[in-house]
Amino acid sequence: MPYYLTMFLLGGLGLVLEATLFSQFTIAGVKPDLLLILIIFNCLFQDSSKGGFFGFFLGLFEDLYLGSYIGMNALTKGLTSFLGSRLLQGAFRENLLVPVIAIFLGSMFNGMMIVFLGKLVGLNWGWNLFYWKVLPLAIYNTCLVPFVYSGYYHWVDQDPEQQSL
Amino acid sequence: MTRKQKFMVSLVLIAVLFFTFKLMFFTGMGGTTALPLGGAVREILAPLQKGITLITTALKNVPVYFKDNRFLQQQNKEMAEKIVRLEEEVYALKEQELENQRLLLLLQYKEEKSGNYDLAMARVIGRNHANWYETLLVDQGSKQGIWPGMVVVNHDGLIGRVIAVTKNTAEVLLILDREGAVGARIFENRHTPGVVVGTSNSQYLQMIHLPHDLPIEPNQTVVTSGLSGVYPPGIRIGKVIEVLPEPGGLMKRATLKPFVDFFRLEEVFIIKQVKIPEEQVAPQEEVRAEDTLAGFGGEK
Repeated sequence: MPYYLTMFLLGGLGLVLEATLFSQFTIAGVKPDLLLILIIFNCLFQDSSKGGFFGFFLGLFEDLYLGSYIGMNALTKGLTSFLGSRLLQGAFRENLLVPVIAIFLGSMFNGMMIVFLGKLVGLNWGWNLFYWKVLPLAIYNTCLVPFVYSGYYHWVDQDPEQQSL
Repeated sequence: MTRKQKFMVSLVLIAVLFFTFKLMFFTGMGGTTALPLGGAVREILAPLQKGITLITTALKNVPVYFKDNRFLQQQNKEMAEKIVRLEEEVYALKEQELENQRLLLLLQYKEEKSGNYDLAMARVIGRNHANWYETLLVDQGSKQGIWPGMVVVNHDGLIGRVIAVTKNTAEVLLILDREGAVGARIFENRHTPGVVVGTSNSQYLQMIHLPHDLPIEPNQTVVTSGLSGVYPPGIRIGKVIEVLPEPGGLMKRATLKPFVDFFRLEEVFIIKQVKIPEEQVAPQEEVRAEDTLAGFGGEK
């Protein structure tokens, strides 16, 4: 199965899991952003343009699913993925610390972008969302990395062709 | 990629990003501008979402089960105690109901026999103080005008007679006891005398010293004859269930099943005074039975 088709299917599954399973496991009022984790994992294996496109379209997919402020996740995830791919070029991705830090920083950046765009479109959001949403979300996402990165890494690593996509 | 191609790609990219940016402003929360594509995505994912929600809900109940376990145990304990209390109440109510039924029968009996006897009701407070005698202890004694020799009955029939009294208790010798012989006769054949005594099987009585030619059959009723001078005549004793010849063949005896359930006695009547023996107010059927007797050649 083509790599990006699988990734999109995983993204769809992630959306459903966020809406169902992880609604029961909220911590500090937040649930993990599984699509963002998937996007940042992808950054570790792709260049900036492919990473950016993937982030953009998966974000758009999420926007379409959510049905409001379409484009917000597409832009933030696209930009996060683009920058992430650039910064993570040549990173030692075998080390678990790399995806852990990447997820934490990527989640923080993505969260800040969301807050910024939310304020831009006129939502009544304050910057204190950083403490109430962005930081807890980044920590929650980071905590999940040790459980899922190994599977993702071995899946991608066993088929070198997928890395060239 | 040529420089021109790169320029075109960048141009398209900027256009897409700009379009996306503008789209974000037109698709606010609760707006109706959601693209049809969004609805399609939701429709596709809905069955999966429904399935996972079902599983999640089921899994969510697992910790709730453990969490509620202690509460349920406590509740279970309380319910068990409550059930015991309620069962006790139910038993008490049933007991009262049975007592009411018994008392109603006794009351009816008392009213029915008020023309024949002066009755005093007594409660059974003990029985068979010794293994060798069939006795009852009742809660009425000399203080209430009870004396030895008084006959004890209930609505079913004859029970026995008082053999000893204290101030507030009386000991009753049951007709089941081998010492408690009663002069009796067949109700349907009133001139057939006999003696009813207890047997070694305390559930039954036997009527002895019956002439071998007397017409006595199963299902006939045996009542007191009054010949002994202790028991008033006409009190029901039991029903004939079997007639057997006595050794020697000159006499025969009958096995009786008493009308009174001696093992469930709780209230009894003590006949303090006999006004009119029951025999004298016997129903008309009894007369017919007497007429029939002539045909059998029964002795007087």
